[in-house]
Amino acid sequence: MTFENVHWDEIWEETGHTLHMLGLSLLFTIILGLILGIILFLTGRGQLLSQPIVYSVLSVIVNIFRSVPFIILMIMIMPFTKWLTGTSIGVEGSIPPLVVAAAPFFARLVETSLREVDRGVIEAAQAMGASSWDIVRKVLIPEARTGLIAAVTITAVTLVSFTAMSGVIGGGGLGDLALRYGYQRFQTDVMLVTVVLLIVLVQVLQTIGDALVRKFSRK
Amino acid sequence: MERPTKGSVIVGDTDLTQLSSKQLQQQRRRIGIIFQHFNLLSTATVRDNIAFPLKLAKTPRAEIKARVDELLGLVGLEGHGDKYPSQLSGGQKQRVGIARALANRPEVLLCDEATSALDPQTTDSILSLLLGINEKLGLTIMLITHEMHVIRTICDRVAVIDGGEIVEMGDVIDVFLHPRSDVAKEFVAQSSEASGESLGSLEGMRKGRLLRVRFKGESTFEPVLFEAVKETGASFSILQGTVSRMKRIPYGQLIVDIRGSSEDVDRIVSRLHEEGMEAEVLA
Repeated sequence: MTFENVHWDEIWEETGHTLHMLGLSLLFTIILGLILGIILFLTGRGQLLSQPIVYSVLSVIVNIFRSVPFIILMIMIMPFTKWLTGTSIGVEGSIPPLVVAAAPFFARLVETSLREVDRGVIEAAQAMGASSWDIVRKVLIPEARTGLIAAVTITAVTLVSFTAMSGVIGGGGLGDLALRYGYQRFQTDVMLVTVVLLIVLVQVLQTIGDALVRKFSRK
Repeated sequence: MERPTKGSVIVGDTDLTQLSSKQLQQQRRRIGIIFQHFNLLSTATVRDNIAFPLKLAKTPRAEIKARVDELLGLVGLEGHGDKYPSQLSGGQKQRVGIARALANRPEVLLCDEATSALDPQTTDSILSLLLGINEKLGLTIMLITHEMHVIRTICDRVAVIDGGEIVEMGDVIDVFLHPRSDVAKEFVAQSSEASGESLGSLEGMRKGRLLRVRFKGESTFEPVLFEAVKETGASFSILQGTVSRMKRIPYGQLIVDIRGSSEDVDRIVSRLHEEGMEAEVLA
């Protein structure tokens, strides 16, 4: 196979777009998802701030966003995206749908990791006069950190595939390239190169995530 | 931690059940708790675990460092400050738990089955540490346990709880020598080193009268029983017995078979009573 159709400058430019989308959307996803995940955990039945109604409402909302396929969600929230960023295409236009899709997913992973924290330790902190906020900052997050790092890794990998899909609405990035050249113009070589780059990206993310989990593990 | 359904919890002069959750959060700092499963932060070093309550109380950094050093010395963990809990043995973890509980200079130390997850030797070392703290710091220690050995070793007073009710309360030595409630009797019988044979089987073995003698304090070391029996010219054999100490008080309980006339037995009993012992004819 020859790579006659591959324009490397274009490839690198789109790789840059993918990394840009991934970086920003991951950042916002972590911020929003962490807050949402902590609220889900704290309001859960039998937890520190048990609020069954708040929990059920949040839980249903999270489930709704998680059940809509990303490609449909992306189109559904276009008006919101346009209102927020002024555009619904390109790198900027793809970040809101990426965050809206990934944050609920990440929030569930956060909730699950926090549930893994030994109840006895939470109880001990309460007994020492810790407020709920103290417990979140000084007990839950540090104690769940390996689970949280793993959750970020999984979310980042999921976001890579979402960024590729956002190529459909002209989101730019490697997915866009694969779609335009590989699918619409039958340039298989371009498709192959972009897919290989995506695989490398996922591998790198997973390796970094695993290394961080090992570094922070104290079990 | 849990609001009681009824009754009150009074520490010092404060009724904890009357406080708001904010006030309660403050009051909790006056009570140190150590737990059966230690409940240490697995991602924090020994030092940071001990510093945790101090940080919650917004203690200045320099003061925290000094206090943590002092506590590490008190519980015998010098040199282990930078280790993580997973690198420590069970006994060492409990020492960290104790140091953490003492960090805010509490008025009461609550031990919730603190030695139940430890082996007997470690239990003893933790108990002597607790006893030392009790004496050195003049701190009240409240200990919840099902191990009678623990109570005998370090406690002054004991309350027996059955089905949520206090069924018996008093000085440890009195409760152990004269348990009144069924639960207490059962516990004491289980823990008595001379258990094994019931009174019934002892009765089968007797050749004279069966006498139970209980004594505590200095008379434990005096040949009182021997002298009392000798005066009458009767003889005796010991069928069952315990001589031990509770905390620092020596005590003993013997079941003896006295061979002599019934007048002799009566004289022995009254002689023992004069010496401050308790004697009771069983059969």
